[in-house]
Amino acid sequence: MTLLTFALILLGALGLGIASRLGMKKADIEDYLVAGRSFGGLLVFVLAVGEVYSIATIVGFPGGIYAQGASYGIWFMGYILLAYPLGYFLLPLIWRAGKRYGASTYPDVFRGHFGSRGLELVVAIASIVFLIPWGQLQLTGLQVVFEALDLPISPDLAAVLGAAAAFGFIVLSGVRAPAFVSLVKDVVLIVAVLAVGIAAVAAVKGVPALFESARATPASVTMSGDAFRFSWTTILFQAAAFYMFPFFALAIFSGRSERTVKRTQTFMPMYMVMYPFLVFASFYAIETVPGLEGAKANTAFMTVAQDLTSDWILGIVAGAAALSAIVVLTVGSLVIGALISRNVLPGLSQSRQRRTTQGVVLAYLGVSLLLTLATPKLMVTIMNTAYFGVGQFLPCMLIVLFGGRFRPAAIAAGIVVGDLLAIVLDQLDVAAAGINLGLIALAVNCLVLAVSRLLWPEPDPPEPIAAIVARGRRERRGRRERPPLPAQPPAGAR
Amino acid sequence: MLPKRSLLVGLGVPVVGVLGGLPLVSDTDATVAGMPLLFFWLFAWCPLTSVCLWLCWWLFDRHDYPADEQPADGAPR
Repeated sequence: MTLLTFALILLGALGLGIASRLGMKKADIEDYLVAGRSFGGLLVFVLAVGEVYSIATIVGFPGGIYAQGASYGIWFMGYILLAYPLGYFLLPLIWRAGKRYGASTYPDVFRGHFGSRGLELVVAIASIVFLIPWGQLQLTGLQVVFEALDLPISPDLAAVLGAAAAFGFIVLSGVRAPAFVSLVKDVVLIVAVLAVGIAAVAAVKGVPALFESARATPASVTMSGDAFRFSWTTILFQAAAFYMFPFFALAIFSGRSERTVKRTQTFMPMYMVMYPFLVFASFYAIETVPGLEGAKANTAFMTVAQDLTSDWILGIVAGAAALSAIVVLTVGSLVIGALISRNVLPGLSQSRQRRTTQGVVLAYLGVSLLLTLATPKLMVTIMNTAYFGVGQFLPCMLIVLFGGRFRPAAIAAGIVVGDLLAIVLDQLDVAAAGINLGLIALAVNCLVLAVSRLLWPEPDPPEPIAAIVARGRRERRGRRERPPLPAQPPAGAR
Repeated sequence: MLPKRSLLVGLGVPVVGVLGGLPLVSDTDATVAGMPLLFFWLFAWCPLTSVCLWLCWWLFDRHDYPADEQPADGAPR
């Protein structure tokens, strides 16, 4: 029964993945990477949701609450939540920049805006470096899920199949495949989470009982000191860094218009209604299955699912996990392919870009798979580290949108300094009284920019996107308010 | 640049609510509906943030983002 619902979900996703080919008009690279900027609100929404809620949602999040208590759950929810209001204001401008420069990736935007190959290369390479662990993270998550769920599919086989599915989808139809697969994935994920969360509440007869024994260890329901500072600064930093994650470029640029991406953001927080149910499941695990040590904490959600729900719901949980991993793998590897074929290797023809992208995707998935099978490890802090790195692109994007007299070389220097500092601080495991290390690196990055602004300002900065948008809006308004005058009789007619 | 009243409702309110509220709700034994106040606070801000953004869109912003333009290719409607 478990296998049946699991297979049905995967077949449905496969069917939609194949159906996504039907929408393809022409085989140019813009259509392949950003669907020819044609997606309406629904597809932009499901693709963005598909990218945000990776397999970490049912593996890392409950595992983190189980092992580290409330502060983990709070920063995890808080940064995602606050990213949406920020996106509401920034995404329409980023979309406009993408349209203006014919971009599929963020480095495309920076090359177009600043005309700087160096800056393009710095951002592209930094993006790739910080995305590399992401693929392994998804495949490791998949292994965790299949190990815990005791299905007739071995964890290693699940990882191999996940990587193969991601590659198949990319060859089939580029970004359209993960968007269409997300239609199934987003629904299945929320059904799985609601089912397990409700089962947990029902099993102890009400919400209060879930938190009863957790009160004995204050850190699981409250936070203070370093844990509080980490949580607070991480929400601030990761919310700001959120949309700098390279794969959101695909979701934003595939939108049809500024209106589409802006409206999408008003609905994004509603998808977070699943979080209370994830928290309920996590606390049920704390209550009833104590003693999951180390990496075993990551199985908290699956353990609850196995204890409380019936076979066919377990199939849904497994399906949700598999599709979450596959969608994020697909988008992540597609973005790495695009970064290499468009930004690292300059001047490839469209058909070469497409072939190179597919080659890179295959290599990336292969390496991720090997790493996963060879070195299984904890999936706790990889996420924070990736944010440290991509968060350093934020000043650069803000300068594109709002302007400022900064030279591209200074912006690139700020990113390099910020990223290197983040890696060093992270490797040394510096405990800055709990303050998020990415935020410290970002402050230093901004300091580099401020010094360059004083000593070596850009004499002739390009017009910022916000000014271009504002001018367009004024012109449109002008046309509406003053109807065109009747044509003047040509001079000399009288 | 960006409209001020829209920024206030859409960004200011959720940020102050979440980041400003956290110090007040983080270290207390209070519960709401059986949940620790800290968790309840975050859960509540998910729909509230959506409401803030929707208000921004409806009250201030929608006129500045006209409906997607139809292709002007003279096709019969």
